[in-house]
Amino acid sequence: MKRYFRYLWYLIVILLTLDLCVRAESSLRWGAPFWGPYSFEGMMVDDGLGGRNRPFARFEKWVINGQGFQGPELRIPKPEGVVRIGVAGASEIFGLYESPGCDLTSQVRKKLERSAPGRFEVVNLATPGMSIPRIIELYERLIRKFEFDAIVYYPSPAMYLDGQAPAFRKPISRRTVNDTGSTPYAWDLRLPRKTWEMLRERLPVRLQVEMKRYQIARKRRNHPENWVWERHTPPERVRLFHDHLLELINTFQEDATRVMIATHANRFRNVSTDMNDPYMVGWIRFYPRASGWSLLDMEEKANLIIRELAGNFPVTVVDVEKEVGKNLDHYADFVHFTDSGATLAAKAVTESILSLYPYTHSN
Amino acid sequence: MFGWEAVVGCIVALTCFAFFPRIHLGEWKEWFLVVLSVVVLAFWQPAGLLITVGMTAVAWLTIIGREKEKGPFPCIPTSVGIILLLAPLVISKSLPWLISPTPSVSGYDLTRWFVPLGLSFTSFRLIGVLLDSTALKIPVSFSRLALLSFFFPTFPSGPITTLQSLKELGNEYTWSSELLPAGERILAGIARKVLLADTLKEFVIDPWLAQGVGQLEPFQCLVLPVVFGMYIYWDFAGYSDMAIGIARLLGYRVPENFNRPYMSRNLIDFWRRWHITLSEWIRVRLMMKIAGRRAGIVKLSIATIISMSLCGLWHGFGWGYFLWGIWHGIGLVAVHLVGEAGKRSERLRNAIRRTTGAFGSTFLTFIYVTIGWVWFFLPVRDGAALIQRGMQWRGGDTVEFLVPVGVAAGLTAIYIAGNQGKHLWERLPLPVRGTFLAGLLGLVVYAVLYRHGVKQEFIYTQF
Repeated sequence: MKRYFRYLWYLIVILLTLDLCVRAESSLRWGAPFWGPYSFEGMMVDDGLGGRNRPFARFEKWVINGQGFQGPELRIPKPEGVVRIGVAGASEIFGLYESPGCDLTSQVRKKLERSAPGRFEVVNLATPGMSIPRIIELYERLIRKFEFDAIVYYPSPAMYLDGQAPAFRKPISRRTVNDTGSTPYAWDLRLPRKTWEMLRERLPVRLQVEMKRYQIARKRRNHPENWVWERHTPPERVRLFHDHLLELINTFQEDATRVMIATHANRFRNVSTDMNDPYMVGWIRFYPRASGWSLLDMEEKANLIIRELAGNFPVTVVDVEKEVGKNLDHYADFVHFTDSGATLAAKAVTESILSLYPYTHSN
Repeated sequence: MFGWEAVVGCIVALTCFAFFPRIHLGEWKEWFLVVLSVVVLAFWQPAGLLITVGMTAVAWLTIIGREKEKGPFPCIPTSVGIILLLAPLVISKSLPWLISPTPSVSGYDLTRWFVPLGLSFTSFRLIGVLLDSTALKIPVSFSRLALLSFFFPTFPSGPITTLQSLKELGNEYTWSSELLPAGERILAGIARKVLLADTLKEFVIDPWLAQGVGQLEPFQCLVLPVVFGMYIYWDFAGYSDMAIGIARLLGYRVPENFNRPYMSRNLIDFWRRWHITLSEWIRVRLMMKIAGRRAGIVKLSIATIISMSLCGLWHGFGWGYFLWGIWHGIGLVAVHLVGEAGKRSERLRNAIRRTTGAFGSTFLTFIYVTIGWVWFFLPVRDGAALIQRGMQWRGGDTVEFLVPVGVAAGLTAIYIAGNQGKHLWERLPLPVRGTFLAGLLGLVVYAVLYRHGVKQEFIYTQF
């Protein structure tokens, strides 16, 4: 018995050592607090209406400023002669896989600074999972006061194939809305997350795909067969995307904020992508009600809607889909960019901005 | 190398030992380990394995050629056998000189594909078998020869085993009884490699040398040779620990390769503690053959210098390695001459003892060996520039002063603690030792699996 207690003690020592090493590496590499809570999830806060970035949060390469954005803090009122640009969207814009400083918004900032030094301020308004209703709500409550000249919005059409479609949420009372994001978050063990990241890098791809397929099957288990949109994109969801986008355009334009909407890019060439593609399986895992067919069809319809709205409203289309294309080197997974993909997307955005705000040296 | 293939190999072996006790018996065990080793080597480097099979066949044909019953196989004289076994080594070492750049496909160096891993070690092992079986009249079975040739723990980088030194553990061996001591040895080896050697390479050697030797400050030039010495020791000794531990787990004792070499009092002592199996091989099978029986001091000195220069070239056909070998050859000759003079003159002997003492002689030996590493690691011109620039150190600012002083203080502390370390460890209670080893295991697991650094190969796999 004594021997087993000893072995248990050794196991605890091993795990404690591993956890201390994880903490030491994050401290040295990213300036993370050694003892305090530190996690990706800790960068988000639910303010009663949905998730947004927690002010002053940081995790690895991501640094959220005191105003809840990535990038420099903005002065109020806006300085004279400065063009203020916000780039909004979900995880594609938040920047998951790019190297530090190589996400789309940072690259737009650098390109604009090179072309027109001191003229532009660019901030990243994105939060992972941010939907159109959510950005509208945040704009009305928090973002409007910064007087953006233009907002570039990169929509994520796949959200409209989720179990529940994106919707506006109303607070039960004003008190449930927490603007400061100061809710303390639980202390996290760091070893489990790090272990999962390590396994993801080392486990064979086939095994990872099987695990994801299993998760998809579990989520679909308690639903009837026709719950899944195999060869069918529900028209009411497509309509909803259109209506939400229209509301976004109207909301921004109330303040004379220019609206720039980007077409959404993904890595798949083929509409009939099957469940053997590891990236498609990874995508469906987030939207178990969808199939590869319906996801790509939704993307196509969404991009068509964006182009149509630009024809009928004073909206600039940024054709990121065309610029990034289908070169697999530009995608880290199904829709998120690598450094090279973000570079191309940033090129498209920068060119559109400069076409709206041309710069000469006399400006 | 020593990746998942070796781990799976060990697990398969231990499982078979547990469930099929018959495998433990004599030749069965040898054949089982030969087959297992061939499978592991096939995963490491299939084309290189074919060349090793060919070399083993040459060795076998040479051995059976001496037997009276010649059989259907052609007999190869011993001298021809040795030449044939040396040929792949000489060709592979001289390829970069003959064909520059070396052939490649899509940037992949083809020589890494068919030049066998550990070719230098295989050549010496097989030549050793030919010479020992002749000189000592030791019978050699094919299974024994094959095991010596293919045994995967020692295949890539030694220790260089011989017919006598590769011993089966006695009847008391069971794989379960060896699990903890072998595991401790393997863990120590991995720790030396990933925690010490790789850290030095990643954070000191590579970043400092990236700028070029000409850009280094004098304090860096002073410290770098010491860093080279510690890096190669921890890397190679770490590998040897792993090889010895794995061999023990599989029921075989292989000879030690290192015995605290930087505690040596003179260069002769150093070469009895550093890469022990190679230095023994060179001394017994090369130097003594060149010098002959009852050699005089002159002949012995010439034999020493020739042997050590060949030892340098064994590592690679380069001026740096050659110079390193010559450096050590000259040092050995000097030590030998002083020793001989000391035997004849008690006054000289006392004077040496008074002026240097134990610490002094260890210090001088360490300095001499450390300078030698400069030639081993750097091209000759860069090495000369490094030494010259290092001699310009005059202190400088705080960092430039503290770094070399700190390194010297650290080494002195290790020297003082060195002799006590092992005794202290053995006196610690088992739970304390176990706790320390558990912590070390946690560090090693982190360094191997979790860290995002560049994975470094063992340095001696390139020889």
